[in-house]
Amino acid sequence: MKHIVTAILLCMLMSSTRLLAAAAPQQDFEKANSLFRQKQYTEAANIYQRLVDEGYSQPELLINTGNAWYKANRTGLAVYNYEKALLADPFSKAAQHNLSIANQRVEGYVNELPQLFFQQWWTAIKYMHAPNGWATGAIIFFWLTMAGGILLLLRPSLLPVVTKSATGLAGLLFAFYLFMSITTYVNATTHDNGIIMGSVVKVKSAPDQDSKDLFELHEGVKVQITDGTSEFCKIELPDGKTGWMACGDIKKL
Amino acid sequence: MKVITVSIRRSLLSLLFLLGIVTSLQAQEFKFTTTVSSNKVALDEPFQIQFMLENGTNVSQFIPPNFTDFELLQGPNQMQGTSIVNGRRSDYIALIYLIRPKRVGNFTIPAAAARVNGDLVKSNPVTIEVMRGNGNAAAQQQQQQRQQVPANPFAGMGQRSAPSHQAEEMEGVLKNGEDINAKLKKNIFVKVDVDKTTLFEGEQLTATYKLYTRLPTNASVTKVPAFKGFSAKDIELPNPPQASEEMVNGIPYRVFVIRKTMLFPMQSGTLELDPVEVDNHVRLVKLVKNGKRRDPMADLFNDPAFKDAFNDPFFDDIFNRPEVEYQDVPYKIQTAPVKVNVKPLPIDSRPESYNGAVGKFNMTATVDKNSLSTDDALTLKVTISGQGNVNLLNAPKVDIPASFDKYDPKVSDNIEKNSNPLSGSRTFEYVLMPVEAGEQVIPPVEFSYFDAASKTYKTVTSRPFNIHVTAGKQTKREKEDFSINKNAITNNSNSVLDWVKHNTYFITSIWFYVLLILPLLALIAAWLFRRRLEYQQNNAAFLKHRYANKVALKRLELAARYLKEGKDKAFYEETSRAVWGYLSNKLHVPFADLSKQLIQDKLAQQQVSEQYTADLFDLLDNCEMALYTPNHNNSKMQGTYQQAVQVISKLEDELTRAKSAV
Repeated sequence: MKHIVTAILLCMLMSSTRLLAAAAPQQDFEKANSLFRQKQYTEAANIYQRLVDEGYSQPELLINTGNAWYKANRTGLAVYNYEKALLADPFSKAAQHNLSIANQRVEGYVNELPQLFFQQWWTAIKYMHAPNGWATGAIIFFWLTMAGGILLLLRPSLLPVVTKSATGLAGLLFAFYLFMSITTYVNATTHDNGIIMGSVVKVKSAPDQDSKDLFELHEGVKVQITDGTSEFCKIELPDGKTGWMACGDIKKL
Repeated sequence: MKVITVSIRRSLLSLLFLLGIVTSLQAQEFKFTTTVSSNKVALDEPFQIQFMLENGTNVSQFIPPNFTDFELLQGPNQMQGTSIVNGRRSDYIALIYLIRPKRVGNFTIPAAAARVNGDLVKSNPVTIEVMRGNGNAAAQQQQQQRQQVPANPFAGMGQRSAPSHQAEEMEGVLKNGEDINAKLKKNIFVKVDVDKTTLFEGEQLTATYKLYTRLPTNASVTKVPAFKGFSAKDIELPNPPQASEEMVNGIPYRVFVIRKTMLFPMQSGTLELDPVEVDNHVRLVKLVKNGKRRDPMADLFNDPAFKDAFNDPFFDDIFNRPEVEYQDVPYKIQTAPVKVNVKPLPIDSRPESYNGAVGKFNMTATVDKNSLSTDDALTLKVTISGQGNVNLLNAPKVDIPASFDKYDPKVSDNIEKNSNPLSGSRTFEYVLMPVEAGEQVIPPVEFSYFDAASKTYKTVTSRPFNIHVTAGKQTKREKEDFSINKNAITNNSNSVLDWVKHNTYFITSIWFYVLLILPLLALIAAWLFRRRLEYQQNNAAFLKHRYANKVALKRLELAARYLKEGKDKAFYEETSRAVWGYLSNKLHVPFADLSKQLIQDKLAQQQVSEQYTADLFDLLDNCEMALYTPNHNNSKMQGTYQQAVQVISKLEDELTRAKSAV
C-alpha cells in the first residue's frame, strides 16, 4: 500500500515537472502573441526568436516569428523564419504565402525555379516520414530481414519460397529506409542555404576585402553557400551568379 | 538652359507685342498722377513735370495747374502709348512740361485736372524744394530724367540697353575722319569679374559680366555662358539696368552689368568660364548743319514705345540740340575666358554624414509630435540654414528605425532673394508612419558641412527624439492592398503548441546502432548454430569411417603379423579368412553358406556399388591365386594387405550408409 502511494506521488511529480517545462515556452508564446496584437512587433518578435533559437521548430511558431519581423519591417529575419517554417513543413500554405509576400519587399529578389515533377515527388517522399521515422523504419525492416534470415538458417524446410521472398523484400525496404534516413539527416543538418541580413551587402570576386565588387545583395535574399573560409563564404544565387561575401552577413538556415 | 528659355520667352513676347496680337489683356484701373523728375532742384535748373493719365478712357479735357513760381520752358509735350509691365497692359497719356524754378524755397505745384469719361479728376499735388544751384545739377537732372521715362517698354524685352549719357554723347559724336572701328574698340568692351580664382569644390564664386562703354549703344546679349562644371544661380539685376561709373586707365566708363551669377563648382580641376557675346548697335552722331527744329508733337505719333527711348531725338529736342544725323554701327564683342582653379575637398577628415554642403550652416531638427498612435503620422522637419550652396543641399541622412515607414522627404527652399553670398534655408520634411507601438527613438540627425573659411569640416547634431507610439484602432493599413487578402500575411496562430524540440536524431544515437547490431548478432548466432549442426553431422560419418577402418584393421590383425613375419601362405589364408569372416558377420550369412554368388546378391541388395563388389572379388581371387602359386615377394603381400584394408573399410562405410538409409 505504501509502495503504491509512493509510486503515484512519483508519477504526479514527474508529470507536473513535465507540465511546468512545457508551460514556460507556451507562456512566452502567448505573451508574444498578445504583444503582437498590441502592435509591439519588435518585442513580440524578440520573444518568438528566442524560442526559435532555443531549438523549437514548430511551423506555427516559425510563421508567427516571421510575421512579427515582417510587421517590424525586418524583412531579412522574416524571410529567414518563413524559410525555416518551410523546411519544417514544406507543404505549409501559410508559410508559402507569407514568404512570397515578404519576398515582395526584398530588393533584387530572384524567383526560384519551381520544382520539376520528379523533384516534387522526391520532396514528397522525403517528407513522408520525419528523419527519425525513417531511422525507426530502417530498424524495423532490418529486424524483419534478420528474422527471415534466421528462419531460413534454422528451419530451411519451412516454406522456403515465401520466407525467402519476404526476407528479400524486407531487406530491400531496409536499404531504402536506411538511405532515406541518412539523406534526411544530412538534409536536416547541413545548412548550405542562408539569408542575407545586412541591408546592402557587396559581393566580391574573391575572398578578400580589397577585391573587386561584383554586385550588391539586399536584405532578405536567399543564397546558397557553396564554399567558405572562416570569414568569407562563396555564395550562389538561384540565377547562377556566384561571388564571395562576409559570412557574418548571412544567417544560415 | 534656364537663361535661354527665358530669353526665348522674352523674344516671343516681344514678337507677339510687335505683331499687336497681345490686345486683350486685363483692363487696368484708372490712375492720374503727377511726377517730377526731382523734388530737390537747384535754382535755374530745369526739370520735368509729368502728368500721367493711365487707362483713362475718353479723355476730353486737360487743365494744367498754374506754375506760379516756375518758369515754363517747354511744353506741353504729349505722349501716348501702351506699355506692358509684367504682362499687364496699360494705356497712358502723358503731358510733360519742362519748367525752371524762379526762387529758392519750398513750393507746391497744385494738382492738374482732367475730364475723363465726363468726370473731372485731379492728380496729386507735388512739393518742390528749390536750393541754391550747383554745377553737377545738370548732369544729375539728366539722369533723373532718363529714369522718369514712362513705362519703359524694355521691361518686357530681352535687351539690356545702354542708355545715352551726356558724356557718351560727347564721345558718340563722330568727328570727321575718325576711324569707326578704332573708336569702338577704345570705347566699348565687355569684361568678366570673378571674386576669386582659387576655391574649393562647392564654394561660391561670383562672376560679373560687365559692359564698359563710352558710347551710346543698344546692346543685346547674343550668347550666354553655359557655365560647364558649375551650378549657376543668377542674381537679379535692376531693370532697366543701372549704370555706374568706373575709371579704366584714367578714363571714366559707364558700366552696365550684363549678368551677375553665383557659381558653385561641381567638380575639381581647372574650369573655364565661357565668354559672353554682346551685339552692339552703336549710334554715332553726325552733326547736321541745318539746325531746323523738329516739331515736338510729331514725336507723339512716332510711337516711342518701340524705339530706344533713351536715344530718342525727343530728348535732344528738349535740350534744344541742333538737328543731327545718326549712324547705327553694329559691333560684336566678347569677354576673354577666365580660368578658375577648383580644389577638391579634403577626403581624410571628411565626416561620414558629409554630403556636399560648403559654406556656413546651422541645422535644426524638430518633430511635430512626441506621442501618437500607429494610425497617425509624424513629421520630422530638418531645416538647414546659412550661407553657401543652399540650393545644392542634399537631404541629411536620417537613420529612421525600421519601426517607421518613411517616405522621401519633401524639400522646400527659402532662399533670400538676391543675397550674395547665397544664403537662405532648405527644409526637409520627412513624413514618418509608425508601424509598431512602444517607445521608439529616432536617432539624432547629423549634418556636416565644409567651412571654406577655416578649411575644416563641421558637424551639427540634433538631439534624439523619443516617440511614444500607442497601438491604433485601424487594423489594416497595408500599402499594397490591391486585392483582398492577397498581399496580407496570414494571421498568427494562437493555439497551444506541442513544445518538443526536434533537434535530436535517432540515426546519430547509440540505440540506432545497438538495434542494428542486435539482430545481426542473432543472425550470426543462428548461422554458427547451423554450422555446428552440420559439422556434427559430418563428424559422425567420419567417426563411422574410422570405425570401419578399425574393424578392418582388427580383422586383418593376424594377417598383418604374418605379413611382418613373411609367412606368405599363412598371410593369404588369413587375409582370405578375414574377408570371408567379415562378410559373413556383416551380411548375416553363416560362414558355411558363403559363396561368391550369394555375396554379390546380398551386396547388390544392400545397394553397394558394383565397383566395391568388383574390388572385393578381385581381392578374393588374388588371395586364392596366391595360395596356389608359390613365388611371392613381400611387396606384393603388402599391396594385397592394403587392398584388403581398403575393401573392408569401404564396404563397412557402404553398409553403414545403406543401413542408415533404410
